[in-house]
This record gives sequence, structure tokens and C-alpha cells, in this order.
Amino acid sequence: MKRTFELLSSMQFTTVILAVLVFWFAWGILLAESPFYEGGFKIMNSALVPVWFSGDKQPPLLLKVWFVGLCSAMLILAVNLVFCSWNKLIRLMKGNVLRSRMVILVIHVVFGLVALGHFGSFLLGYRYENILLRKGQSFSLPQGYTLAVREIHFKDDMKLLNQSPNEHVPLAVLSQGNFSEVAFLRNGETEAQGRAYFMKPFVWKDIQVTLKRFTPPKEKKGPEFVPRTPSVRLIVSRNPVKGLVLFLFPVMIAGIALYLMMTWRSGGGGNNKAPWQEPGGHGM
Amino acid sequence: MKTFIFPGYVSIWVAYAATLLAVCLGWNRLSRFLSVAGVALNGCVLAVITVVSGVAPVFEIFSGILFVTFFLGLLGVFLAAPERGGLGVGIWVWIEMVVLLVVTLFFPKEPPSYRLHHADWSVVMFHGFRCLALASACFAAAHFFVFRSRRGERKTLRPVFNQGRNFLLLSALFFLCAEYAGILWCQNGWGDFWHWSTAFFQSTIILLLLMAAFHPPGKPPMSNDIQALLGMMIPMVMLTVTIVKALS
Repeated sequence: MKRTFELLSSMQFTTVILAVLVFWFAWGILLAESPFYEGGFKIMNSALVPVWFSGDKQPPLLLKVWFVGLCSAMLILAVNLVFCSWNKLIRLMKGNVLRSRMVILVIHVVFGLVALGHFGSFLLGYRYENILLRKGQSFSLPQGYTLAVREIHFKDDMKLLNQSPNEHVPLAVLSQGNFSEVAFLRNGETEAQGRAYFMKPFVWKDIQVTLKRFTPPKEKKGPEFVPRTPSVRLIVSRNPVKGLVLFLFPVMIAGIALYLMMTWRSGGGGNNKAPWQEPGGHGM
Repeated sequence: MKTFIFPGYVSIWVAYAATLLAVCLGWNRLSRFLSVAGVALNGCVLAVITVVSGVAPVFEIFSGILFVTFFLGLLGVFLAAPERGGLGVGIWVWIEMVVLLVVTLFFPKEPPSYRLHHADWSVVMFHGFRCLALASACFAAAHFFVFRSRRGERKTLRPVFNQGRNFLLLSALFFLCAEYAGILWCQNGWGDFWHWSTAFFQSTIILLLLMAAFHPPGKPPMSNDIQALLGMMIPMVMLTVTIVKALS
């Protein structure tokens, strides 16, 4: 039992899992760059994990296997993290209190929570990508909500919309005059209303409406050509753990900065004793 | 003003290459003068790029690498004392500077064109912190090169190893800041803070390597050797990712 505990909390174990994860992500790069799996990754980005396994459009089997493998490796890393943190906590409780070690413990715990938050964001809430709407159109959301596009404002030259996104003149797209007025309705009544700009989404409660791009109106050209307003491509997402991750990530950064300042002179050891000099020592 | 960029770039090349030569020959006063001149020129070229393009000089590989050499040069001037004999930290820093400049030879020497997102602060922070992370990692690697190349002097080189570890941790800190800015960029632009794409996988690999560098297995000297080896490898991976991104 003790041997298993030591193995699960050892640095060797951490190194092996990290090496496996590096190779796993390298494999992921190869898959993402392959034209055969490119579409699969698009599906993965357009919906949350439960839809990948039960929806109409599912990513290829290999991508699902890759994802399950990734989750398994992360789970093993989490086990290693828990055992290491437990080890450190025991040592701290025995009175071997070093402030830098406490900071390391906090950093590890916060890292674990950030990773858990990322995993939670794959499962919780919802995500609808590439919702193409014109003025006056709406889109049904869970919990009885409806997203309606009230108005589309595009002040710049409509010709810009026929260019590829990389060619867009950014000032035109980022202009404060270009936005979409959207509203959340429930039982026909407006619950909230706001503007979604490019890179400045409209957020209500924890539902986010992101303006991805404007698309040119489809209409026949002729002598009676009357320019109409463009459509908008929206992303609607609800991520209940977003706030937690966005809060904890800077906490982790601040923890590392604090640890770096505390150990600058000693080079990571504190009291001239490096963490790697301790049996089962775990640290930076 | 745009015409100043190319001659300025050539002058930076000359100043940094001459610094390396002077450091190798042990001409410390001259190397000091040349390095300060090189960093000053580097700063001027960055300022011109900023004025001409209207954006921070961190987006394209040319201006991004010049930003890295500027920061690395500052570290080299103020924190890498010249040594008498042997390959000191200073020599490795200027070797790295020249290697970084060699990379720029293969890319257009022009200020970045004004593109989508470049005005958004999260995008600027993402690219800027990435450059700072690369510069810090290069400076850390210079210390680890010294530590690994002089095996017989491990005890006296302990402070060098510690300094390498400090700058590698600083690099990790900058890289995490870049990641946080990237999270905000992704959240505002695509409605989520994670994307299943090559760019995210590349960032995660760098983060995992940084994590591995701070969790070396075994006991000294093996653990120190592993940490130094990873510390030397990380800036190469960061630079490779930058080059691949620029080529794609």
C-alpha cells in the first residue's frame, strides 16, 4: 500500500504522464492538420462533448478515441496531483512549515481546479456555432429562451463583406458603428436586450452572444437594386464554469509570481535546501 | 520613416555579431559598448515599426523576433557579466541573439500590416507575453548551456543553475500571462476559452514541457541535468512553434 502511494505521488510518475500528454497533443496536431480530420475538429468546436457521442453530426471515431485517451491521461495526472498534494499537506501538518512550500501547495490545488474547470466547460452548458440570422429572425435556446436579432447595424461599405476574413479592413469591422442588437425572449416577453460587437460580446446571466461576422445579403443585382442589411453569424454559448476559470487562472499566475519572488535567491529550495533534495519532494 | 527599418535592421545585425565576436575574443569593454549600441538600435527600430504600422511590434515574426532580441539583449547587457576564458553565459546569450536574427533572414523585413484584432488589448498581450516568454527562456537556456558544458565545475556553477531556473520560471510566468490573454481573446472572439485546434495543442505542449522542467525525477545531479536539458529545449520548441505559425 505504501509502495503504491509512493509510486502514485512520485516525480517519476509525473514525468511519465507529462511525456505521454506531450506525445498525445503532438498526435492531436497531426490529426488537426490532416484534411481528413479537419471537419471532425470543426464538429468538436461547434458543440459540447455530450453531442459528440449522441448528436446527428459526430466527429470520426479516431477523434473520439483520441479525446478519451486525453481524458484518461489527465485523470491519471489528477491522481498524481492529489497524492502529491496530500504528501505535502502531511509534511506541513507535521510542522515542517515553509511559506514557499505552502505557496506551491496552493498553486498545485489551483492548477487542479483550473484543469477541472476546463473539463467542466466541455460538458456543462451549451454551445451553438454559426447561427446565421437576419434582422427579425430568432433562434430557440434551452430553458424556453429565444434569441432574436432586433437590428443589424453595418455602417461601412458592403463590399468589405465579400472579402475573406483575413482581408477585412479591421477598422471597418471593429468600428463602433457595426453591431447587432439582440434580445433574449421568454414566453414572448423580452428578458434582456443588448448589443453584440465584434470582439465585444453581449453577456446576459451566463449566456454569451458572440458576433462572429457579418455576411452579405443575397439579392439580385439590377437597375432596381436596393442594398439591404447584411446577416450576422452568431455564436451562443453558456458556460457555467467560465467565471471560475477566469478567476482562478490569474490566482495561479499570482501564486507562481509570489513563489518566484520568495525563492529567487535560494533557487527554489528555501533555507538553502532545494525541493529536489527531499525524498518525494515535489516542486519548482 | 519606413526606409529606416532595413538599414536599422542591418545595423542591429552588425552590432550583435560584432558583440559576439568581441565577447569570444575577451574584449570586454568593446563588447559592452557594442552590446549597448545594438540594444539601443534595436529599440529604435522597434519604435519605428510601431509608429509606421500603428500596432505593437509583436505580431509578425520579423518584428516579434526583434522584440525578443531587444529584451534578451537587455538581460544580456545588465545580467550576464563577461567571463575570462571558457564559455560564459554572455557568449551563449549573444550566440542566441545571432541565431534569432538568422531566423529573420527568411522572412519579409517589413512592419506588420494592420490586421484584424490587432487593436484589441488581449491580442496584443497574448503576442507580447509570448515574446517575453521566449526571451526569458533563451536567457535561462544560456545559463543551462554553461551548466551542462562545464561538467567538472558543478558545485561552483550552482548559482548559474539557480539563475537559469529563475528565468525559466519567469518564462513560464510570462507564458501563462500570454495564455490568459489568449483565453480572453478566444472567449470574446469565439465564445469559448478552449478551441480544438493546432494552435491550442502547440501551446499546451509548451506548457507541459514547462511543467516537466519543474518536476524533474530523481535526485541531483540527475534531476538537475534533466531540468537543464528541458530548459535548453523549451526555447527551441517555442521558436519552432513561432516559425511554423509564420510559415502557415
